[in-house]
Amino acid sequence: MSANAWARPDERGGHEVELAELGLKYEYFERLISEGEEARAGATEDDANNAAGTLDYFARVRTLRYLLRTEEHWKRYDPKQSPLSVNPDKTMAIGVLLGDARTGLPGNPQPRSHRPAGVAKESLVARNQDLDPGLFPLPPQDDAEAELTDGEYARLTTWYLLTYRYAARKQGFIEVRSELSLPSRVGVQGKIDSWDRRILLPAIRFKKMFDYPDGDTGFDVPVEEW
Amino acid sequence: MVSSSRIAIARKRRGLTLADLSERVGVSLQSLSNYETGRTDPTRETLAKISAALDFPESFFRKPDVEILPPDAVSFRARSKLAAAPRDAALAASTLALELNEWIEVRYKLPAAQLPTLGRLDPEGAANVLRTRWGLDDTPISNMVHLVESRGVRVFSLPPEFADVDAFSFWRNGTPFIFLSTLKSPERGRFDVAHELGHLVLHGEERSLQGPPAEKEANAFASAFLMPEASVRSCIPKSPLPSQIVSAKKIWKVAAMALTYRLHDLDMLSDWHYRKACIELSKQGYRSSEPRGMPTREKSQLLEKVFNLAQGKGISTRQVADELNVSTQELSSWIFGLVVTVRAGSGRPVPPASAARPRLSVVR
Repeated sequence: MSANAWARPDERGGHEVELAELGLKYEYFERLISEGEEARAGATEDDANNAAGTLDYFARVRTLRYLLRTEEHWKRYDPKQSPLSVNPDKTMAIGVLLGDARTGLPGNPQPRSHRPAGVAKESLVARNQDLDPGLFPLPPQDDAEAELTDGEYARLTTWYLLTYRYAARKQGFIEVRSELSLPSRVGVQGKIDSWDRRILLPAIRFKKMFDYPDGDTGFDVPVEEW
Repeated sequence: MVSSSRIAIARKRRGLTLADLSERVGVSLQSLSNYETGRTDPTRETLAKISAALDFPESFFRKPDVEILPPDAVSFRARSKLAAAPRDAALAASTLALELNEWIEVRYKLPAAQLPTLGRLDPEGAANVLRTRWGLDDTPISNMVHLVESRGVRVFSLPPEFADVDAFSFWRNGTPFIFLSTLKSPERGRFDVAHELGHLVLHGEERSLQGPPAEKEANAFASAFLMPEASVRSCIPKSPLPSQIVSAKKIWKVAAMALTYRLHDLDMLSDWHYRKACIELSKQGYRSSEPRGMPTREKSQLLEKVFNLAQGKGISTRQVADELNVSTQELSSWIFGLVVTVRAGSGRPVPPASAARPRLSVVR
């Protein structure tokens, strides 16, 4: 685990075990959140107001899909333009999603998605509600793009990396809370608000300032006349 | 009596072949060769021509013979890539700069060498031992030139026309010397000093090592000496982002790429993260230059003090050059970029060399 991450006192830290059961590693999520944070710097004052957040989102999607594809042989999958990664068994997909202030915190009420789910997410969440537990291992394909048959699509569970970003300006840090969670319902206002399973990940803090030591040289070179 | 070796050294200093000089002076190649080997002496008239062609006063050639530094005595970084002409020119200039050092040592008491021989240790271990011996703990080094000068190393500069020649170092009569190229970024200059310090403590007489293995060791030494493991681990989180590397490079006053390399070396960046950071930093221009870097190069405290003391006695830089039988231009090329305000004889300060486009300014 990176020193970027800090575990809240109410966190058990079992996330690594839970992720491992799904064939995943925490470092992927930490990395994609960090890449997203880094990408925000690309937005200038002349950009649209949501540019930083959009660049953040692009970087998260890109890093998630790149890491899972190269490290775990997952594949890209884009049902109705909703960017996902699908595992080699085609039983599990992961996307990224903005949550609210309850993201990454245990207990109820559960977090809600920041924005209403669109057509793609809504149908993926609906799919999660009637999961077929039967798993049929399929031979891996070389193509980086996944294609799912109707039967495979029916078995697919779609998880989201839910994140919530908080800027503590006075203290000089950015905190990103996150969880990898399995949505089960699209509630009022079209927002996803109920989850069957939640794997809470350590919050990540980005320091925005370093303390630098003073630049005084302190080395004297004595030069005397003979 | 003309010193044959001085004709050769002056010619090499100017980067000329025998044929080049023969053409300029209008003397046969064979005659010139004879002058340089000492078989015959040039006539007074010919010497005047040679003197003019090489821009050294005639008195220079009448000084005692001098032995040009042999290439083997010097740790050149890119020895294999370096052509003979610029290499010999740099060696000739450095040989002459040693005469300035003698001039200084006769008049001033300077720090004695405190460099241990650490050839039996690996570079990381040697860097740690040297830090301990010098009482530096794990703290970042504020000024590498001042540090090595305070421990008895003499630092001079390579004339600015030798852009291809990297820094080099050698021992001479028990005194360690470092010659710096002052055309690089300030951070690179610091790394060069640390690199040469590595050669001086690791590759001394008892364990002579040359070529790529020696360069690798010197780089590892420099990296560890500038960025001690404990200090890096306490200041930087694991798997830092490029922006964090760029912020943190100021702590040790190193190049972003050098810190990235060190982080990979310390397993604080995985291979994948390391490659990614390198790509990102290259994109931001950190491979070819040092954006948001140190504002100025490190200067020589020793030379500054010496010239100020001399100035106080009414000895101008021009007089020093005259005593060494060279032009002030030649003299200033040995200390180029290392001394900011060598006051000229007229009392006018020499403008500081600009960091971006250095040029040789004549000290009158």
